[in-house]
Amino acid sequence: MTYGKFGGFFVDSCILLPKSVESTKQSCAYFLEKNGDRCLISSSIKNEGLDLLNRSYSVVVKDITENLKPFLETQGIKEITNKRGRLFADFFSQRRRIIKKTHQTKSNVPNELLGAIENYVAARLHSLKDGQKLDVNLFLAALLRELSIEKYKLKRPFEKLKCILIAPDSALCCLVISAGKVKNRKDAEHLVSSIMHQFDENEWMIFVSNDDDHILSNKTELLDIFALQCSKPDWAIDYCDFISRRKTPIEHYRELKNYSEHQRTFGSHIERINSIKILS
Amino acid sequence: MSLLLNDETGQIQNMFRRDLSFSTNYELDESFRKYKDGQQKILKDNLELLNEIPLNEDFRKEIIEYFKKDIIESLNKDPMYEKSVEIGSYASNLSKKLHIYFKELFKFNEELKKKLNAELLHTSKIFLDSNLPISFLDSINESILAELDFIDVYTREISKERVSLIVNLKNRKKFERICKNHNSWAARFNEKRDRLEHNRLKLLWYADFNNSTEVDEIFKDKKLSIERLDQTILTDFIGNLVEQINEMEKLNSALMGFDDLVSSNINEPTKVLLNLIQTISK
Repeated sequence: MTYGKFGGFFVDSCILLPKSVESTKQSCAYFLEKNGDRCLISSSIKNEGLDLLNRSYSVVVKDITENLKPFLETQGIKEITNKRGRLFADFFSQRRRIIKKTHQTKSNVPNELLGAIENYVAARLHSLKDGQKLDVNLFLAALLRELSIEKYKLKRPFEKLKCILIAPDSALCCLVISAGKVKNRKDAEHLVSSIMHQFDENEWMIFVSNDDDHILSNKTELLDIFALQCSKPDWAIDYCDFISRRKTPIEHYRELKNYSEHQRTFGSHIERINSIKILS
Repeated sequence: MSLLLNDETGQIQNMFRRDLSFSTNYELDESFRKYKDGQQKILKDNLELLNEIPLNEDFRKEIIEYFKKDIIESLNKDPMYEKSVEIGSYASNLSKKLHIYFKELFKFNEELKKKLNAELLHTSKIFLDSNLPISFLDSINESILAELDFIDVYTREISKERVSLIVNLKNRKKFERICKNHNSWAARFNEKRDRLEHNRLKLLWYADFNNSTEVDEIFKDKKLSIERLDQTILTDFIGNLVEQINEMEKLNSALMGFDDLVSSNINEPTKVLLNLIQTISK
């Protein structure tokens, strides 16, 4: 009997971004410190992570340069202190009114984006020391600088991890959504990348995530139908030991008995994608 | 008084011309020569870079004259330049100047980081007063941040080397080997860093010079307008800089651990970016 080889941990973007919950923060940091060199990232996760980061950064930068700066200029403000909060409050109220007029959809996204920027500007304004006067442009430039620094830091793990270039198969994505009950299309793409890589290399992969809503809550289906083990970072190493005692992914799948309809469909997809027969 | 001094024979040994005179010139010491040579090299590098900037030819000539005058003058007033030459002189005599070399270098790197941080603020201010695309700000700031990462990585590596050098100070062979290894990896980093800085300045100069009508206006606060620039050239320069950032990041990240990479502190800018990521990805 040939034992399966462990190919690595496919990490979800939530593992690579900072966390506010202390326990989650610790478990991710510990996991990466111990297993960073065995972690992989799919091109779909890398692209999505970097794209979201760039878009978020652009939203704030644009709001500061295209809206906040002209507003302060029209108000004739040259210097600011931590006592000018009401002026900024006026700006955000105005912006909300404009958004209400221009965005007629039910989506609350523009308001939420603005709310996040408002929190940020308020926190930075109130962080100025009492009596400290700052040139408006210097204050705004300082905001841009710290955003650039932070964006750069957040980007680093996405650049550091070995990236596996895979185009997730769309039919397989649909199956992960319907049979795997993964409701989020992007998450389905990331899972499909891991599944495709697992069968392409014939090495066991573990998908590491903290996403209970879309991924971990469906880990039984993902394992039964797609032979993909998903885990929280805390337990990933335990699954790694367990999985290494199994046969290779292809042999393992071939030895399953009484395939379900979903398993059969999955097998035919893998046969089409990788030209490998995994159904016995 | 005797006519002849003792032992005088009226013979001399050889009729060679020997210059036994004391030098009547004061000699510059080596570090002073390096200081001057370094200035000339810096001027030459800057003039070469200027040649790569698409500009009106008459304006270019004016800038060349300005550079020739201003660069040497400003280097003469620049304590960091002076310090870099001093550190260089310690490096070329490392076994004797080991302690002072590292002490000064660590201090110098801290100063350099402050300077780069000030550049980040300056470029953010330039961008704020412009209608240039975000990619302009992004590429320039990222190139500075990659350089800051480089300084951290470099400082950490040489801290380890410092210990090995101290331990092997009396072991000439091992000492030499450590120096050789250092020179080999540091050369790769320095080459990338040079190219990074070169491309960053090229982009900044292109935007600045083409938005100046007189030589007195260059490097001064002004509104940078995209209308004064060629879109294709701007995109190319940004693209070249991004390429260099990627190269530098690759080298940096090879020497960075995972604990360096994953940011664990949630400060105000992290919060806003994470909140936006969450909202956008909905």
